[in-house]
Amino acid sequence: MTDPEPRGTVHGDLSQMAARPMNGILYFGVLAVAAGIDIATFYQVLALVMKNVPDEVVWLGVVGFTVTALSLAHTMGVRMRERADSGERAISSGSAWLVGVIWLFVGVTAFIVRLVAAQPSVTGGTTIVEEGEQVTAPVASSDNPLLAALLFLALYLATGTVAAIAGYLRHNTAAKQYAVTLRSRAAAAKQAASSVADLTLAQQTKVALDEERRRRAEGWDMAQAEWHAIARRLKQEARLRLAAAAQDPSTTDAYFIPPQSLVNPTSGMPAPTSGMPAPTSGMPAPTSGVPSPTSGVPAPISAVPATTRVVNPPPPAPGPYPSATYGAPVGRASVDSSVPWINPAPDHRDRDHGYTERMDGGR
Amino acid sequence: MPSSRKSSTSSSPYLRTVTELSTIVEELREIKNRPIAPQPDIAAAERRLHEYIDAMLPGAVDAGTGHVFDDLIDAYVDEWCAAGFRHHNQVLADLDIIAAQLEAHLAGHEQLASSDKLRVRNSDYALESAMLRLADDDLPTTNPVRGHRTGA
Repeated sequence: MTDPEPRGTVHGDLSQMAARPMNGILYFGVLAVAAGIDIATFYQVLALVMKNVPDEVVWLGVVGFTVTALSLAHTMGVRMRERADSGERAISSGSAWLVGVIWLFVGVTAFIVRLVAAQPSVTGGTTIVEEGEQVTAPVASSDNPLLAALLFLALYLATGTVAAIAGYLRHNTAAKQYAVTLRSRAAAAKQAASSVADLTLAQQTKVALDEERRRRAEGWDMAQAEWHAIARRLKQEARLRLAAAAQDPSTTDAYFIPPQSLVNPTSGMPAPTSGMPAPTSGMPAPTSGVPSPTSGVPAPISAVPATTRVVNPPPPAPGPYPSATYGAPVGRASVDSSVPWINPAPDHRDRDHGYTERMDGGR
Repeated sequence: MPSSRKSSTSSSPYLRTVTELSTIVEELREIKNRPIAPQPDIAAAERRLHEYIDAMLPGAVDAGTGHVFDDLIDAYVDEWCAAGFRHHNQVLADLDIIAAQLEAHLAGHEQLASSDKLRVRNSDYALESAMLRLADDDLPTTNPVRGHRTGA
């Protein structure tokens, strides 16, 4: 039986992807209180050393001292946690040791200063005014420098430990990496959304421009077609007015070309009387159905019976085969050209190359 | 709607190109509002033609003179076509200028968009890696400290 594989380092739980845990507020509250304690204790130390500087500068130094001390302790915890996350012993972190030594040196230095520095008179006791005279209260036993320094050191160690533990427990490299990448991804997506929107707008503008080109090309063609149609209309109107002024059917006949549907030279229908212009003689083309006028004046249009005008006449029926012109019919035409599908040409049977006879012989 | 669109446009990181594109769109809109071709004065031409016809003598035409006004009418149409072609050609030239500006805009913007897409893709990879690490999926299964304890 094989031993189960040892469990790897746990970096965090997936619930950290959903939201930040609320217990972080507790840590920050504790650190804030610890920072307040450090400020109070550091002020006593720095006030002993910085006697000839304004009070604002002292406070500035106090705040800086506090932030530095807490940052050192917090960094120490973070470094140890990162060491543990990488699968090694937490105390094997060199940077954590370095930061820890510095943090301890700061605390010990402040302890010594608090211990050996002279007690300033202005801050050592309480001064009251009694009947117009200032009376300084005697120094209490609690203002013993050793006790005060020990108290400071205890508070310093306590707050530093809290900050270090908070740094160790709160710091999670995997969760931090996830949060950082999530923020950077959101920023990149926002920027990409804007750029893609701008690009799409530009592409659609290009599409609209191409469509405008096509629309203008079509519109230009249509405009020219319209103008040419207007020109045809003007020409027709001019001819109509000229023909009306001439009062002469032959002139009218010469001005207008009959529609193609009325021109049918192969049919037995009479040719339109208004049709082909004969500019030299003024005579219309002779019509087959209407006797030629003897006066030399073409028959007026109204003389042609309206029933003879057939719009879109049907195609002429095929007539008999002109044997007198082309001789005897040969091949398929010799059967009956009017109904070739009833009596096909005999060469159909000739092309089976004896297939029918072979089939009969096989039986 | 217009207010939100305006705010989204103003929040774009590419304000220079957006302004440039807005100018191009305005110019294209101005060109679209132009007529396809200038409208010729057809009524005046028709009126002049009728005046010419009416001015002819009663017996001045015969069967062979029906085309006397054809050349005049064709000349009218040629004038219309020439003027229309000038207008049409000018519009096409303006469209070509806008198309060139738009092509340059598109070329630069495609690079920006491509860069942004690449950044999003890389961020996706990084985020996926972070999620795997958060789930311990990409870590070695052995821990030196715990492995030493287990072995002991």
